[in-house]
Order: sequence, then C-alpha cells, then structure tokens
Amino acid sequence: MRRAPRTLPLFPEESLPPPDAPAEFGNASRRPVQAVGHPASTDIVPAPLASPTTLWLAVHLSALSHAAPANDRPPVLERLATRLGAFSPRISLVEPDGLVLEIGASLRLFGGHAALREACAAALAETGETVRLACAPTPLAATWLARAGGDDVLAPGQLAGRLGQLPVTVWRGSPASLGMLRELGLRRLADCLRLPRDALARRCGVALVRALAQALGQHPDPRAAWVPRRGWRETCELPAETELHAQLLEALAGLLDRLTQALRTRDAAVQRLRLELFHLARPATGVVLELLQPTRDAAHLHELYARRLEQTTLPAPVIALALAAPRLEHDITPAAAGLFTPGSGTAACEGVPQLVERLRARLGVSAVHGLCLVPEHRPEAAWQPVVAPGQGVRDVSLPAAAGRRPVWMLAEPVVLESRTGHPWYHGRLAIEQGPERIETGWWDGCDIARDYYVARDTAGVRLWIYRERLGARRWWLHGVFG
Amino acid sequence: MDGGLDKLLRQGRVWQAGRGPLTEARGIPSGFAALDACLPSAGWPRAALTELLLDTHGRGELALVLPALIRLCMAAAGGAQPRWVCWVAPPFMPYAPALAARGLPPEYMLVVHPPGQATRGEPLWAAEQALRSGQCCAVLAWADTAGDRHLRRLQLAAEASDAWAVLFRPAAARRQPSPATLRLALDADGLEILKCRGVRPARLSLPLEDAWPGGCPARSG
Repeated sequence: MRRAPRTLPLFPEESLPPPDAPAEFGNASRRPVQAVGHPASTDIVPAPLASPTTLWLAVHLSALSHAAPANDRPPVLERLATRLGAFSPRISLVEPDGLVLEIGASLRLFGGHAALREACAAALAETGETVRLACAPTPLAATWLARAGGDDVLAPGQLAGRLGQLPVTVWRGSPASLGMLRELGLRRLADCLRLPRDALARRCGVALVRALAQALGQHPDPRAAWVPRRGWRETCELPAETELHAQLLEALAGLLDRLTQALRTRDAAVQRLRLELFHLARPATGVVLELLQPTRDAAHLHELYARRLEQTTLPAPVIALALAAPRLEHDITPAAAGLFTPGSGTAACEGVPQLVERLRARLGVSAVHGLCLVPEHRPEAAWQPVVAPGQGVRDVSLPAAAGRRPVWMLAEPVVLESRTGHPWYHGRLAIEQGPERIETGWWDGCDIARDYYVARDTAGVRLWIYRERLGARRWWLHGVFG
Repeated sequence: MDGGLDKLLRQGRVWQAGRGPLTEARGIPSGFAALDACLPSAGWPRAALTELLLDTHGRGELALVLPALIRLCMAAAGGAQPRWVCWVAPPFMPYAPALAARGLPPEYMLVVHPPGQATRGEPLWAAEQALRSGQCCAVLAWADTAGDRHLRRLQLAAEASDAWAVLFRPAAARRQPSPATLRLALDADGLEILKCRGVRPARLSLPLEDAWPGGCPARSG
C-alpha cells in the first residue's frame, strides 16, 4: 500500500507560537482563524494526501433546481453546508451541485461511519433537498461515487477497483476531452486507468490524468474551505396575509429555530436581531431586538419577540417575515453557552439580563435601568441611571453628607410657592433643620448656589427643600424623606 | 388527628383565637421589635405578598422597610443568594448616594418605570416578572390601581419565590379585598395591621422617626 508522504511544515509554529503574533492553526475549533503566524500566511500548506484516517463524505444534489436563487435566500449549497457544519469542521463546496466534508476526524464522536452517515442524511432530509451521499478516502472519489450513486469505499486499497466501475462521465472535463473519450471507446474509469498515463494525457488532456491521480490519493487535492457568511438572514413567506399574532409567532418560531441551528453550527450567538414584517404595497415594519448579552436561546428570543409584537401595531396584514442577525458574536460567556444550565425557561437558571430584557420587551428600553454613583457634590449629579444594570460598578467614596440625604429624590426640582417669606406646599412648611449650603459647578455650566433645609409639611411628611441664593431666591422641593 | 391539625395550624392558614401562632419564625426581622412581636413569622413574611396602604407618599414607608432591606442585602452580599432589589414604579427616584450610605449597594438596584398610565397592570406584571426571575431578594412595587387578577398572580409569584414582596397602595384600597398575606396601613396615627395570617388585627405606633433621628440614619463606621 502506498503511504502518503507526511511533512510537518508547521512544526516550529505549532510547538512554539511567536509571542507577538498569536497563531491559531488547524481547524479543530470551528471559529474563524483570528490571526496566523508569518509562515502560514506566506506558504501554501499542502493538503494531506489520502491517509488511512481520512474519510470524505460527498453530498450530491440529484435534483438541482435551476431557478435563479432569490437575493435574500442563501444558495442551496450554503444551506446544506450550514446544516452539515455540526458534523465536520472541514467542508468544501463542489459547485454547482455538491459538497464534500471530511468526517474521518468526527467518526469517534458520532459513533462510527454508519451512525454519522445516517445523522448527516437525517439532517439533510430536513432541508427538503434530494441528495445522494457517498464516502471515500479522497474528496474527488467520494464526489464521483455520489454522482454515480455508488456505495461507500472505506479502505483506500479498494478505491481503484471500485472507481473503475464508474462511467467516465462522472469526471466533469471539457466537452472536447469527453468527446475524445467517447471516440476512443473508453466507457468506464477502469478503461482509462488501464492506459499508460502519458498517452492518456496526450490524447485527453492532463486534467483527466491529474483527476484520476487525485481520486486515487496519489496527487494532492487542495480544497478551499467553506467559510460561513458573516451575518445571518432568512425569510419565511406566509401562506396568506395575516394579522394574527399566533400565526406570526409560529412562523417566527421556525425562523428562530433555524437561527439557533445556524448559531450552534458556527459556535456563535446573537446580540442584535432585526425582524421585518412585510406587507403588500407598504413599507415593511421593522422590529429590532437589542439584548444585554449574546444568546442563542430560541425560547428566550421567542418570548421577547412575542412581547414586542404585542406592543407593535401592524399597519397592515403581514405576508412574509425576515429575520436578520447582522453580526454574530463569537465571544460567548459561559452563562450564555449554557453548559451547566439545564434546559431553558426554568426560573432558577435565568439571570438578571434576561429579566431586564423581558421587562424592556414590554415596557420599552428606557423603562428599566440600574443605578450607579458619580463622585459629585451636586445632589442631582451624584448618581446616574445605568443601561446595563450590574455593570460598570465604580468604587466611589461617599461624602459624609450622603447619610443625611433623603432616599426619595424628585427627577427635577419643583418650584414651591412662597407665602409671606415661607415655603408653601399644601400648607406652610415648617423648617426643621438647615441650612446646608451646596454650591458651585461653574466648570460644566450647571453652577448652583443653594441652601438646603429639612422641612415638614402639614401632613407630617418630611421634605428636602432648598432656596436659591442668587436670582429670584425661590424655594424648590428636591427630595422626600420616606 | 392531632398531628394533622397541628400541621394545618402551622401553615398559618387556620388559627385559633386566644392561642399564639405556631408558624416557624423564618421572617425577615423588620428592625422594629414591636412589629416583629405582632407578626407570626417574627418579621416580614418571606415568600408572601405584603401590602402597605399609604395615605400619602413619604409618610415613613421607607423608614419602615429599609432596615429589613438592608438586612437582606447584607445577608446576600456574602453568599450565593439573589441580591437584587427591584423598585417597580416608585413615586420618586431612589437616590443612589443615600441608599449607598445606608448600606444598600446601588449597583444591585433595578428601577423599573412602566411608561404611561398604569391602567394595564404593568407595574404588577413587572413585579411578578421580577419575583419569578429568582434574582431579587426584595421587590418593592407601587400601584395606584390593582385588579384582583393581578394581585392574585402577584401573590402566587411571591409564594413561588423566596423573596420579600411589598406592594404599596393608596389608602383608598383598604375596602378592596386582597390576597396578600400581610396587610398594613400607615397613616399619621401609626401602623395598623389590617390582615395577617395567624394573628389578630392590631394597631401599633412605631417609632419610625425616633429610630432614625432626622429620618436618615448614617451608616456606622
């Protein structure tokens, strides 16, 4: 048996990555390569030849629809590749009607060749395309077997014999070469394999000889790896126009299902989603969902959208939906990846971000916020609302006076009436403590000069009021002691 | 037979006149001895809805709840318990420096302001979501109007959680029946226990202002 020569051109890189340029080699993780070292970027790494551990699965679309692909719909091959991404990190497209994926490295995980093949077939059946599968130690041999509807070849030693039975038309050469083969009476690949290579090359072209060598694993067959598209977008057309939320949500659930499927394949999550609801003869309604944390929890997304749609008034019945994730997040926090969180929807495993997102979906983004301290002596500037509660915690040393401040503050101070020099609020206010002078702030244009007092109104409620020291010297209500 | 009866009594749903409550003391100490003595759980009830009726905002309701709130936050700071405090539709803005000075970490405060008129029960819905999330040690909600259905849902959510749920309502709601475990009314005369599982209604005057001179206790140290 011929063994492919093995070289390790990247051994120095792999054993000692340069400290300044982080190198990521191999394709073990499906994440896109972030950075490569110098040699990898300049040299072309030869693809490994057929080895006993390599096994390729070829998928051939036996009924390729020739309709022009719609703009917003990914081509068939991309959809199949996305679906199969769960089974192999190495996928290459064979335009226009096939793709190959290396499954030798995945066999153990999926429980052997037969189980993996079955799983792939089941995944492909869900896409609704009619496909034929075949396995072989080289990608080209697998492709040819799939085209001809042949059986799997697992051992490299059987490859030549099994390929020989295939008709020569599985090779997609130029019409001239194929015409020459027909005239020479070469019907099967075995007929070609029997001939001397140089004579065959002279008559039918070098391409055929190289293809035969590649199929048998005697010549390198480098394949461009399929790279998933950056964003994600899919549409769903409704059978009829509808305004019913239940029907919209059902269609949306399908889209979200496909989204999470794609996210799992790419080991990614989404933080921003845009749903478009198309109407007939009207501009589409867009519903944007912004999350605090990247997620790929379909149930959570569905619930958020259900609440958002409740709040959305549709101008017209909806005929189609499109869901788009312009950016996929690859840095997923362990919580979002959900390694230790069993199931979804249980109250115990839900975090505060999910609670905030749910509240915002119904009440609006500005309705929910956290609090944080700001080192500032002016009372109204000493705190700020936080969009992402729990984040951006700052260690601010509190002024000693903070303990004397009321817990309730008015969003804006309210002018109080003044009667006979006394502040008036549903009755005359009795001053209990004060004054406490708080002033200056010339550096940002919000200069203040105030004397603060604690006062009690006629109902017995204690208020925090102040009097301007400049200008009209009006009284203002600023806080309430609860 | 006796065991079954005791069990029923211990749940606090049935109580015997003239006999003290049998429920286990697992409440949140309120910081007011007189109030703790009146409540069967020796403090604010956990996993239950507490309703506080106010004739006016700023009557001292915060002085009443803050000691327990501080205690909850202090207890949660060390362990893995939920430590968020959710303020739903407060009448004024909780002032972060004042909270921090009293020992409540502002970064664990979640403030929810339902927009517009609260006719659709949004504050109660938000409070229910906060309770069901299991992330809050206390949920304080203000609602001017509250439908029976929403109140019932809130009570169920409170029972399912381990949090302290307080609903502040106007004094006019006194006539409306409520599923809350504990109902109190706070007015100029003091605090009145309107309803409490396991004990008789009572009126007590709490030293709300004496406890905190100036209405604003400074954190010690």
